[in-house]
Amino acid sequence: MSTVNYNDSKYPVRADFAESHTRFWQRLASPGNCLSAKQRIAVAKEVRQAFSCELCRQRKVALSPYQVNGEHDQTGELSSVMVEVVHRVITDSGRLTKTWFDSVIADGLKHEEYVEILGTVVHVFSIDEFSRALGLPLRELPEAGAGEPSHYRPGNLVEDVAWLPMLDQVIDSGPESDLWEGKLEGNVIRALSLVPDEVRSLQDLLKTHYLDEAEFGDFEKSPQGTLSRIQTEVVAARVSAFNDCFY
Amino acid sequence: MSADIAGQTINMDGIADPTCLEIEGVPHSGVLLQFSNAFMSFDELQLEKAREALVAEMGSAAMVDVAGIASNFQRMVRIADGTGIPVESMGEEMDSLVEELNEAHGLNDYSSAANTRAAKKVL
Repeated sequence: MSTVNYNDSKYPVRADFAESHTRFWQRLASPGNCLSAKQRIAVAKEVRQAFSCELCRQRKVALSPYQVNGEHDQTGELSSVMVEVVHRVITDSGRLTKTWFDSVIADGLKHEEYVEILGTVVHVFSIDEFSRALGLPLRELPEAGAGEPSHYRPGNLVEDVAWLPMLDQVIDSGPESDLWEGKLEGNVIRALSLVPDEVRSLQDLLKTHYLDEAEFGDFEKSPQGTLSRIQTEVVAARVSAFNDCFY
Repeated sequence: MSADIAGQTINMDGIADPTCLEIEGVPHSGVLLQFSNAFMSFDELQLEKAREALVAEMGSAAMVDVAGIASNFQRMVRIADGTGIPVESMGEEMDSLVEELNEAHGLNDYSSAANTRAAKKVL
C-alpha cells in the first residue's frame, strides 16, 4: 500500500501530513539513485529493526561505541555495512565521526549509496516518529515497485565542509536550480544534495512538519498550524537538546 | 539569557535542560515541554499523559502540530550528525551570540560540536 492515512487517529490530523507522507511512501516504493525499490524498503524495515538490536543497545550505554563488537540483529535483507549505517544513524547518531564514515566507505559503500540510505532512514524515521507521537501504530510500508536505479550524479558538486560532496551553496541554473532557487543554502539542506531527490523529499516533508525552508531564518514567520513560531522553536530546541544536537 | 523573537522577549534559560518545565514568556510552554520530554523518554504512558495535557490546554490540532515538529527534529539532527556538517557562519555579531548561547547551555560539550570546531580550524 503506497497511500498513507491517519484515519485511525482519535485526533484530527491535518491533510497535508497524509499527503506529504504518501508522496514519500510512493518515492520509497520506487527505485532510487543507487538502490532498487526493494532495497529502499529494506532500509525502512531496518530502521524499525534497529530499536530491538542488542548490539546497538550495548553500544549506546558504552563509554565509546567502538569498545563493543558484535553483529547487529538485522532483517537480513541488506549488506552488513548498510545495516551498520542504518542502525548507527538511528540509535547513536551523536557519536558518529569522520573516522566511522571513512570506515563504511572503505567497506564498500559509495558516497551516493550512503546519502540515499541516510536520506531514506531519516525520512522514514520522521514519519514513524509522527505516528508514535500520536499514539498510533507505524504505517504499513509500501510494496516495492519495478525499475532500475538512476545512478544520476549532479554537477555543481563541491567538497567543502561535509564528509562528502554536496551541491554548491548557490545554483543559478541546471536540473538542480529548483532546490534553492539561486539563493545561499544552509548546510543541513545541502547535506543530502549528492542525491538531489533526497533534498526534494526533505523540503516536502519539512514544509508539513515544520516550515517551508525558505522561512527558516525569518522569525516573524509562523508554521502553518496552530502554534506561534516561538512555541514551535521551544519544541524543536527541547527535542534537539535530547539528541545532543549541536547544529 | 533572553532573546527577541517575533517582537517578544523570551527568557531562554533552561531550554536545553530537561528539568526546566516552563519557559517564561512562552504561552503554554509547560505542556509543550512536558510533551517534548515524554516523547524523547520513549515512555508510552508518559507520552499519553502529555498528549492529553496538551489537548486539554491547547486543543487537538495543536497536539498534532507538536507531534509533527517533534518528529521533524528526530530527522534534522541525524542529517547533521550523519554528514559531519558544521554550523554555518551567520556573521560576526550573530556568531558571537550563538557562541554565548552554546556556552551557557553546555552545547559545546556535545560530541557533534567537533564538526564545527574542525571547520573553524580549516578556515
